[in-house]
Amino acid sequence: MRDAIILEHVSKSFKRYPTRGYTTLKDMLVRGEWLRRVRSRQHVEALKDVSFSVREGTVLGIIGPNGAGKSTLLRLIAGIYRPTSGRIMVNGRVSALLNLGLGFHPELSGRENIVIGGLAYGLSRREIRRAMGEIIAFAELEEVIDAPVRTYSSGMFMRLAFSIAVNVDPDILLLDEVLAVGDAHFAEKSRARMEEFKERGKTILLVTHDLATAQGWCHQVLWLDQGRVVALGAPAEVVARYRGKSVATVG
Amino acid sequence: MQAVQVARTVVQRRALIVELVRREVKLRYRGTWLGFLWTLINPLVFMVVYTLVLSHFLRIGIPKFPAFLLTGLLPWTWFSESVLAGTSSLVDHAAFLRNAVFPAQVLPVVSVGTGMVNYVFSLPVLFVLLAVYGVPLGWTVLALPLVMAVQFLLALSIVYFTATLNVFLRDLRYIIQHGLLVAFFLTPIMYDFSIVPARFHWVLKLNPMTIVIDSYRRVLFYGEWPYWRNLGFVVALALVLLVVGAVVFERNRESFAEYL
Repeated sequence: MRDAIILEHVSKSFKRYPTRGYTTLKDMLVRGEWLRRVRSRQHVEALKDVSFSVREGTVLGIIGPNGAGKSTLLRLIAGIYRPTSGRIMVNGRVSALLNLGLGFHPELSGRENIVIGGLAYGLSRREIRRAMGEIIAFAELEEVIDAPVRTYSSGMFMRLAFSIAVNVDPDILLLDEVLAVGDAHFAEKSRARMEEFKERGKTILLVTHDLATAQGWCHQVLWLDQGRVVALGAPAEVVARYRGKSVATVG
Repeated sequence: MQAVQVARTVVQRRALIVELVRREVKLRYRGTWLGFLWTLINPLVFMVVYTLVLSHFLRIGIPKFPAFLLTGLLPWTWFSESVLAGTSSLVDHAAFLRNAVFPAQVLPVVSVGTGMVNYVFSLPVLFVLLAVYGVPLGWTVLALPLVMAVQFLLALSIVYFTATLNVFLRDLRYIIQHGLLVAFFLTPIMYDFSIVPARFHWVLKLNPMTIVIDSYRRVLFYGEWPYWRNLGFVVALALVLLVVGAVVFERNRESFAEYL
């Protein structure tokens, strides 16, 4: 078994400005704010010296309190962010569902969005044609697939996004708290699909707040807190320690 | 190295580029009654107004003025539209860049490509107008794709810069908008280079689009071959800009998501 993902001493810091990320000319010139901004800019370390590797076919649950760096970690692995230092190696095609439905073009139909989404993931036109039926069927959007996605409900959005992410035949799937979303029927279907992924030996990274899922479904659990790895290991053990810590903090 | 990476990504993702260009062309007029005709109507309206003002009010005596004007106006429309759309292309696709595995490198190409498709679609109108005014098409029309390729490179080289900068400085879009208006008047589109007094030639020569528009004129309107040396100069300039632009783009690419 190869390693699907390797992180070596990965740190990520963001420059945080007190106001906002971009500048306007007015800020720079009229208010002379540019200098002030540069001076006041703080570096926020979202991840600090994170090293771990994930073997192919592993389902890794990632737990931790809000702001622990969980989503940043997935974005780094997906290649959306670049690490400030350290190295990340990823073997295989990555599919990521980080923020539901975003990345759709509202004026285009569901079908057109599937084509663009598939091409963005790196599929060929033929592969998309082959997967199209399955994506639509899985999302249960047969009747509205040629309507602009701005007319979709948020549930339909979510189903389409999930269906694309799991049907582009990824080797590595990155999921950010999605299993909890959707109605009972679709949640059940998604769970079944994830189970199938797991059995086919795909690598899955799942950020979750649901400790039962982390414990019951994942092969390994990674506990992040304040950008550092607190523990990585057997689900029961890590989750138990995490529970203890949380209770201790709350109590 | 980084420029090569950008080029490789663009070539690998050509299917995505084609699909996104198709989307832009399709979406632009979705929900309008006349649809694609608007692409033709806009320059035609300009043509009528400019002809009225310049040929009839001011009596500037350029023969076959509507055909003369449109020969330069259509490629200029392509240029200014794609530079403007390209500048804001990263910001416009923020949702893709922030949340999905999406190759940002293709977006400048999509903007310039969309402008080119609109230009190509408006060519039949130009050819009809040239015929109406009795301008014969010579063999020189064969150089048209080449002139278009030069313009494509030039626009693209600008867009890689401006798109990157616009992520961090959102005023750029408006600066570009005004810059393009100034450039429109300082490019020989509604007049000919030859009628400008020699002492002002240097102003026009600062602008590489002068050479490009002049080449369209020569090829389509005058039936002459372009000044190859001048065109070669534009290609060289565009290539240098493109390499530097691609490097600047690539260096900042992975911080786009943080600023969008």
